Amino acid sequence: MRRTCWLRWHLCEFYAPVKPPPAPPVLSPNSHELQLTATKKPATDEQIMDLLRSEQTFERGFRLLMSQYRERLYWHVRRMVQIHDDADDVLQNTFIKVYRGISQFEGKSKLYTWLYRIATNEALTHLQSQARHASSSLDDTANLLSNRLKADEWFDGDAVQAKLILAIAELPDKQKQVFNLRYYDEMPYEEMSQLLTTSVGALKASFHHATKKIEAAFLNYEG
Amino acid sequence: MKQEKLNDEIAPFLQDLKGKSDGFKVPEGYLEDMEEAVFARLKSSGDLGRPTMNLVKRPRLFPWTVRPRTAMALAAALALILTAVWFIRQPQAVQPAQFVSTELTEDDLEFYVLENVQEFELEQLAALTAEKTSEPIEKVAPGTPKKNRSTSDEIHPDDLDKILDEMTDEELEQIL
Repeated sequence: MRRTCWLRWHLCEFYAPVKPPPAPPVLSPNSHELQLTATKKPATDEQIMDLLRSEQTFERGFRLLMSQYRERLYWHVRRMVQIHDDADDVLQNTFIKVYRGISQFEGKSKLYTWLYRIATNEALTHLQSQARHASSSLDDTANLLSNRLKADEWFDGDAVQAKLILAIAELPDKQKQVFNLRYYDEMPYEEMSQLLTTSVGALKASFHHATKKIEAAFLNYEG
Repeated sequence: MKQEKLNDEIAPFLQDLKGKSDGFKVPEGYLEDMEEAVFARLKSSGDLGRPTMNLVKRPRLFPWTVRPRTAMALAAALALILTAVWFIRQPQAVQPAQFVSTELTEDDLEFYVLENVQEFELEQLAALTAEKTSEPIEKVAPGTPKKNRSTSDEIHPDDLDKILDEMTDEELEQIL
């Protein structure tokens, strides 16, 4: 009886239908949680930092850091600067700054929080230089951006989507960050509070003001 | 659940737009190639391969045991304990001495007063003499040797007249 059961079990295992591998998740740029590969587990901050602490494994750790966070940072920067080429410059500058200044990271915050702040500062610096260029060329920033967006081969949205992007670009820096994190990434306020070191109440107020401004911009557009 | 909460915060047209793509596209393979572009820039700037500093670990106050926050908590607890111990060990207030005379006789008390007459106030001594009018108190100078005590040897001159008046002639004759 036992032999029969064992044999039956063995045969069932041998002739069982092969299960298909799990389908990789669809990577959406609007999604908050991004995974580069479906099969690999993302490395933890501690694992990355352990590699970065040694000269022998530093480059490997830095490559792992880039592969882990590049996509998330790219979309954050892209929504700040809108144009792909600008986002590319800003993102490369960000990682170069990270490479040079990684020894200053004390581990008091999450690694992504630190990377996010560097990327935000780089994006804002880029936007300020663009604004200076716009003012020197007697052209306002909104028009300049609108023209560039239309000319960008890596933007294929319609007029409404373009209007939304331009309305977001008109927001103050903090409201722009809050709106992008909440609207596109659906980040919880508590997590956003740690990222931006701002209270939850202030973030909710900021998001509320941002949405009101965007709604007003759309009303003007329709009018 | 998160989607519902976000939709509560934004207008319907923003909800509709969220469901669609935002219009941004990414060149194929861009993110994978970006890694090499960064390293190429680092190499051209001379930063690549430069001896890198190790990550600086957060300094600890007591590196062999605890972190700063734990050390502060322990120090605060120790301070509280020491303060409590100090309060408990404070000497209690001295109670005023209560004189108990269960085993002392009047003679002992009188001797004590005579020996330490300078420590007593005049009013206290006057009160004592008022109680014992037949027994005058002898002033004793400090350092004088102790005298043998006698109960009725010393008679006050004022009392002598009184006594003499009360004595009969026969008693006087006996004394003389």
